[in-house]
Amino acid sequence: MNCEEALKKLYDIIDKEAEKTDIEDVHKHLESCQGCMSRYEFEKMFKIFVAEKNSARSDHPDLKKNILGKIDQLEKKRLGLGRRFRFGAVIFSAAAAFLICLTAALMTADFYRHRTYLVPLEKMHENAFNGNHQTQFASANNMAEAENFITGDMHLSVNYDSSAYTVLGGCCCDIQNSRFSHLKVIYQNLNVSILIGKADGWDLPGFEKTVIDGREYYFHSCRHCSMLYHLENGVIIIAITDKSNVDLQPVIRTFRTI
Amino acid sequence: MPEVADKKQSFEKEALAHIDSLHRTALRMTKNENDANDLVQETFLKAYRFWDKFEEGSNCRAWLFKIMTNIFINNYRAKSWKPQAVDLEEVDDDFLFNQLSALGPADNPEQLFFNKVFDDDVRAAIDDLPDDFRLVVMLSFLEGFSYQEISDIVGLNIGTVKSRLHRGRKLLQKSLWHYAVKNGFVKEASQ
Repeated sequence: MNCEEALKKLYDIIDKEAEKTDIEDVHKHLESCQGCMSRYEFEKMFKIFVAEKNSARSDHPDLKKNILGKIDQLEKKRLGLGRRFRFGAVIFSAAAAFLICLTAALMTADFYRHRTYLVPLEKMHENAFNGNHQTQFASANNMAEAENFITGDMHLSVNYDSSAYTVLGGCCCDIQNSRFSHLKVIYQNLNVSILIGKADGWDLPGFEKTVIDGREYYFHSCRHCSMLYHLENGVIIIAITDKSNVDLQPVIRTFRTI
Repeated sequence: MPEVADKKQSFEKEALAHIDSLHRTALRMTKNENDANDLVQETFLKAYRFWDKFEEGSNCRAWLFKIMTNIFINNYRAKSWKPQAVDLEEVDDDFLFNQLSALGPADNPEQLFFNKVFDDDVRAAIDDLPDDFRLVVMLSFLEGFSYQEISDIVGLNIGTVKSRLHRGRKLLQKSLWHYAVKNGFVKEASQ
């Protein structure tokens, strides 16, 4: 091993990342080359020196206390929200039971389901495409975060079907205290939002079910929107757009369990 | 609720144990006490929300640093270009080594140099590095993460991590030399 080769491997050795054979070869060279040995000692010392000069304990009074305090607040909020959600479900069941007696029941119930479940999602979808959160979607970094969340946390494969739709961007967001990724997609000249996350403990609206290729899809369409969702292993994949009667299955079906 | 109490307890014991490491890095990344505190708080709150999904026994510290790095990149990274104190054009690998060697035949000029430079100068030299380099150098030098761990934390492949670390070292050495000259610890060797 000559000087040039040894010096190339120096940092790997100091960082304890080198292969055993390289370590042996380099040390053999250092033993017989004072120049490289001095350089090696220097770089080793430099790393230790920088770490030591920064090792003083940083002062952060109350930080831990504040964090624990915020966690308590979070838990209190979660409890409160859960109760509200269950309350809403109780009201919904009571209203539905009564309304079923009337012939107009189906239309009214559908409207109620839409208001309770879809309006928040529609607002998110609207904001995403109206630029209220434009900076979030413009950042490529967030796209990586969204994809990592989908593959790493939700265990779905991401195989965009570029013949069917174009992905504009994405980010992560919160829905009902649950983390979701939100992808912006153009499908057949329409703005479509895809939301992927865990729907643990959600009351799911009883939308119409269809089975395609052995997978269950729940569909809703009205004059406000079209929405399709699919559940797989506790993960919910929702596609929503603001035009009625749009078949969103070609968009959702590309996300599958790994 | 007993599950909540358990969750808080395990979180405090395992995750909050790393608060000092995280704060130290947050301080160098944000360069500002208040932002550092906010960043650490945001990190732990996010981590707490995902604590149920975190695998017990796996690399908690790296996981926390990954969360913090993502939050930093999305929310705290300086949006405007700031003029650097040091001209960071590329230097040779052995720039600092050569400068110190050129100081003369005194034994151990490196030791003298390392002994004289103040903690503050080292911090200032680190702060002068561009964000991307500073982060990787901190994770390696100060926190002792492996290349693979750094790759997972910053979301870049190992090759990129290595090259950033390599260039970061060179820039740091040059920056440190600049402070040493400025403070009169060393005199520039004539070219």
